[in-house]
Amino acid sequence: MPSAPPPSAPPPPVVEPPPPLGSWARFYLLVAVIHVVVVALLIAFSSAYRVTEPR
Amino acid sequence: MRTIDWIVCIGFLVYMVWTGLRRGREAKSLEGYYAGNRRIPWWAAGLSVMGTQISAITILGLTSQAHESGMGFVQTYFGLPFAMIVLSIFMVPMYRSRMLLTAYEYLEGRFGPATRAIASIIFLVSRCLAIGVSLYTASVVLSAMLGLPPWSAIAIIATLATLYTVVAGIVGVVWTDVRQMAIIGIGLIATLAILLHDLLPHFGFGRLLELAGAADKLDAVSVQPESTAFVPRTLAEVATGSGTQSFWEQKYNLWAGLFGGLFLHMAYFGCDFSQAQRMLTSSTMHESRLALLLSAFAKVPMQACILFIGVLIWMFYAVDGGPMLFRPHHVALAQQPEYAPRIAEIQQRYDAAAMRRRELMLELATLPTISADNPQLAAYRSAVREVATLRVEARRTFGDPSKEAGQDVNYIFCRYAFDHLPPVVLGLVIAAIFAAAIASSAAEINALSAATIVDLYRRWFARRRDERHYLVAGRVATFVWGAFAAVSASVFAGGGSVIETINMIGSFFYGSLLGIFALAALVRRASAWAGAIGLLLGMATVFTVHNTLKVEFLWYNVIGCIAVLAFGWLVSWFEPRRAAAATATG
Repeated sequence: MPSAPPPSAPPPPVVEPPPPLGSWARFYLLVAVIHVVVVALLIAFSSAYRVTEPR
Repeated sequence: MRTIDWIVCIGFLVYMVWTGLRRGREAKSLEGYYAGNRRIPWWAAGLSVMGTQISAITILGLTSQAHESGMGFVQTYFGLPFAMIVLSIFMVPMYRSRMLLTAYEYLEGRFGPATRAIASIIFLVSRCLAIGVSLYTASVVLSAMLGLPPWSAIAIIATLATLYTVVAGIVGVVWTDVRQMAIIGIGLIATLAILLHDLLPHFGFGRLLELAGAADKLDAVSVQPESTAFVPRTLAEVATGSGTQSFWEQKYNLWAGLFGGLFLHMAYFGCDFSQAQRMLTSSTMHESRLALLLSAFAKVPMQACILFIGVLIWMFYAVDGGPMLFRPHHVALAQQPEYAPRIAEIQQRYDAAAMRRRELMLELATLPTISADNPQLAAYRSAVREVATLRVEARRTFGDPSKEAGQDVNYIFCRYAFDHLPPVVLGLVIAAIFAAAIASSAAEINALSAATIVDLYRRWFARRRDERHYLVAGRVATFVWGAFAAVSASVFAGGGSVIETINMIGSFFYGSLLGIFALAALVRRASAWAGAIGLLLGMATVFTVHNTLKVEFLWYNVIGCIAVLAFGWLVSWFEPRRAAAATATG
């Protein structure tokens, strides 16, 4: 079994440049918008069934 | 449990462990053992991210917490989708820029070996503290509900988790997580359907929601914080009862969920290696991002559904007449002559209050509309509070109120499942709880093993050995961590809501870990000293805040992260420029 390269050095870079943010930006926006809608629905649900006793 | 339930439960667990074991042939190197040869599809890695987070705690703790105090816990997850977006943008490219086997390897290239070692040790300490707590929750099911000693339940879960993780590593972990998610989905949907089937003959769905809401069980989001005072109280002030409650003391509100939760989840998914490991297992950066974003879509609705099951269990018991004591240990204590007369007296008042609650609930169900000034509604709310108070009073009979009061929480879902779920469904649900405990323990054991071998053993103690040596060492480390998990589960077995305990343990450390990665990304001049000193001072800041100020644990992540950034930035101004320039390119 050949010996492994010295592990003290950090591993070599992988040739995988990050894709431009623009190609993902719309998807991130979609995730954020869907989440905001879900939170808004939960807020509406929460206040619809909250009971405030009259003083 | 009935025989058929045992067959279903054991059958599924055997299938799950076999699924993991048969993947063992793919783990022929550290690449295979800790990174799945970077060939795991995004949807499996994404389900594994969710499966690792959904442990037995999620099922037991969340349902029980909703039963006790409503759905407010869902707010903790409000920051999660934003956290996943930030991680996708910043962390995934960091982790995919090199062939890393652990997240902390990245820090060596940026800050040097000391910071990498400190970060890895912080992860090892925090995770090994939490693994005992998470293992313990599943042992609650076996030991308390099946009458087995706690150690045997812990031993079974730890043995099964360790077995396939030793053999197959991360590949086994991911593919068993996929099965775990399937059985959890089936078990919870079946429970939801059965609860609705039992409740809907009494109320329409709309009225059911109104009655649960009137009992404060659907108060999912608190937009208005209880206090807008931003200066935190000291613990001394809290002890003497002076000072005013601050914004930072409220556990669950929209703002704590959005901002505290954002930092908690960025730290947990990005820097806790039991989660961050998934980012290294996919074939491309694109797939790693998709795996993370699956949780962003699914997590909040799923947690809301699990909490809603807890609310429905409360409604079921309100109609059916629930037990006063859920924990089998308390039920046994109540029979003893020392406690029996007092418990019998409380039980009498409890039965009367529960009956009053039921009658008022059913009366309200027949009204065409329920207005806020309806006297029956006020009486119903009063009966709800009285029943809850009597349950606490009964538990306090057994001893230290501060400790005992919370110890009922994690038994409620199990009590319902064992008493009311039909054959096969009970087996499925118990299998889901076991699977969740086994799968999340396996993920943690594998990540602990990776950090031990790659960041410490291979880096500091045994350089230049061949791949077979490291693989054997990895398997031995996995076995040792599995054994440690079993032992610590017995030691850390405690009361209170376990899901909070886990998040609290994490919050002590995670913020600082996030801070060091943020320092790497945001402060270019920061180098070796800035990284190491920033990280240590960030941790020290969190511990100082914990011991002096009254601040809820979610904010510890924010404090830790900002403290590391601030101290790291400060130290970076005193570092030699040449060193900074050299390591910045490293």
